[in-house]
Amino acid sequence: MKYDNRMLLGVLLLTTLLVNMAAPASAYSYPGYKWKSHHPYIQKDSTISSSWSSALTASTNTWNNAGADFSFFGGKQLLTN
Amino acid sequence: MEQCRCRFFFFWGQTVANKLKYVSFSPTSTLGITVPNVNNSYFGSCYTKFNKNDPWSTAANGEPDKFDVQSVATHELGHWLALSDLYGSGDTEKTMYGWTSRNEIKKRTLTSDDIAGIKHIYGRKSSLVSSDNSIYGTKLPNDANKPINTSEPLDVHMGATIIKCTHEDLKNNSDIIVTGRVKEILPSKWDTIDGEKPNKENTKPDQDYIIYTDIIIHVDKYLKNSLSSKEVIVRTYGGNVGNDRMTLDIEAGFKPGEKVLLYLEKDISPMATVGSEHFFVYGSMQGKFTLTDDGKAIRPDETVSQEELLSTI
Repeated sequence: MKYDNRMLLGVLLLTTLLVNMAAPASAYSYPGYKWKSHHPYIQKDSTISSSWSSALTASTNTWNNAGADFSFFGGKQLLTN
Repeated sequence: MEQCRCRFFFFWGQTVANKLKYVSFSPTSTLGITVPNVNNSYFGSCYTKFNKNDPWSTAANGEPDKFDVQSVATHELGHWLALSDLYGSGDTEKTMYGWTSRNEIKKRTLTSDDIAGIKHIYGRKSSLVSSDNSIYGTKLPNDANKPINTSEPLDVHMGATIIKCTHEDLKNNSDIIVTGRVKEILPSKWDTIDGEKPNKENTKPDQDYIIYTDIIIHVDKYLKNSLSSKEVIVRTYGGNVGNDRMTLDIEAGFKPGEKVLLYLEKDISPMATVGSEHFFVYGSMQGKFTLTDDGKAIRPDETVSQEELLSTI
């Protein structure tokens, strides 16, 4: 019985290992650098029309609300220089 | 007071740092480009340019024949987080997929892989952070307030959103189409006044600067809009200057002696006056085919016969 349990555990571990090895490795791509603060300041400069504000704010909020310890710092509306 | 005569200076920090811009650049097939400035494995600053030469829409559900600001911006901001472009057939639904089309709005919404990427890089959100990410009690540390030390090597990995092109798109949007051979790859340069690394003397305020590489093509045949010259210069983004390096994965790559068919677009950006008259490859890597001796035309995502390709032009 003990021998059977060990076999079962071994098979489970091997299966887990094989499944993990077969998982796709390119779900995302990351070159290895990041923001030290996790909260970079962002602003749009004067070349960007005010009519773009809502769309750009929505884009920043999409990443801000992704559940990671990262957020753009720029106020509720992106600041204009 | 004694003046400092050392060659150490700061730049970038108070000019283009951490900004979104709407400017003209080439090729027009590149809708947005993001250029992070990296020192010692950390961002020093970052900026994104949206191409003024393309038609844009901010409509809630997008607009036919226009490119969606929110969709492209969400992709470009993914580069601000350090995520790279993806081009695999299994990546088409992801925000970080590098190709896009007119009226595409799906990049507005992150997929589980995009979210896994940001969580891998920055970790999960701490419970101490407000649920409203845009409001904090005190101003948080700001990387952009620390200007870049230009005496240190730069290693910049650019990202972009490129229009997905059919052969018909490539033909219609290129100014000239040529077959020829790569004669010479010229040394990379900065697009500053003197080609050197940006400093106080060779830059203008509020301008951004990148490294480019010019390639001389010996033309065998013009397939669209002939020029008198037997050579054309093709400009690509990225390259190495001294210890500084800039790369753009989606850019067409060239090898000396390589036989090519190129869809080229004249540079219509302010950069057009920098260096010799030149063209960009329309569609980035989509607009460059390597021609082989056994009659094939090859690019990273497609292999066709040369006969078949020529019949579309």
